[in-house]
Amino acid sequence: MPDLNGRAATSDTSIFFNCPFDEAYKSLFEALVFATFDCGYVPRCALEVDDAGQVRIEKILAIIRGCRLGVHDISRTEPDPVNALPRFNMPFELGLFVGAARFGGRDQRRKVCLILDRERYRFQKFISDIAGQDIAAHQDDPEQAIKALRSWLSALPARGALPGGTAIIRRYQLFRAQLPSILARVPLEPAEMTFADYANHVSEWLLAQPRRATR
Amino acid sequence: MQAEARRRLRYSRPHSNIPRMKTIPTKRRVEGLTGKTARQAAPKKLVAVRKAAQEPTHATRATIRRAIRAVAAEWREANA
Repeated sequence: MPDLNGRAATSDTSIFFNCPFDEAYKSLFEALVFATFDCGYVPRCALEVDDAGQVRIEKILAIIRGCRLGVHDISRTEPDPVNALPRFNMPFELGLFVGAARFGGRDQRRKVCLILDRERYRFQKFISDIAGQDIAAHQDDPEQAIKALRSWLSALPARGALPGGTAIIRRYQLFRAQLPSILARVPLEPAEMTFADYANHVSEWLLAQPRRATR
Repeated sequence: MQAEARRRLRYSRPHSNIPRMKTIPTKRRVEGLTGKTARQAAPKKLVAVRKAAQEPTHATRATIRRAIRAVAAEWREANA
């Protein structure tokens, strides 16, 4: 997927998203994807390639290998309502990412990640081994998540000026307001929108909006 | 487009059964790579494959773009 300047995503500009992909997390995930594009990066996750022939873990490993940056949300600790068991995918993929950064080759050792949780120090109660990592809280609020992502990206070596958190949120609110009308014209049912559809709508919308107009 | 993207992805895998030193045949070429060996073409090919797998067709992008422009125009009129 190209970035907003039409360049193919490189490892340095790709962010691996390791988070729940369910309805409850959708508003946070979509806000984070928007903020990623708005900051000039490209989001990648296991939803992007719909290839039934590829084993899921292979897909995830390939994406982790191709992304220098990673955002890991470990907030989903509640048991699954269907099976009454917690899901371990997110901590597992965080471990893969950290392992690649620790034991991988020269490029892999440049990996950096942001860990998100609902509250700042809650993780110490269930995954204390990651104490010392960069952990931010989103309080289950998309706007907090956008701000956390933006401030993490702003601390990385500069790729040009990043828009401020408030500016990104304002643009995101305008995008959300216009999205139903855009989807109706395409036409595409909101429930049928895949990750690729959403990402394409976000990137095209951002290209069509001069940043100054929404500030 | 999906089938074509899947075929390209399959071709790009490290465990592909296509010998690495064979040149990329015209039928299987990824833009601008004909005549190169798979090893020579690898970095560029991967970028091309990734783009092919994830980018929608031109028509899809164009449709999205038209819809965005139309809604933006409506929005401007409503707020004028």
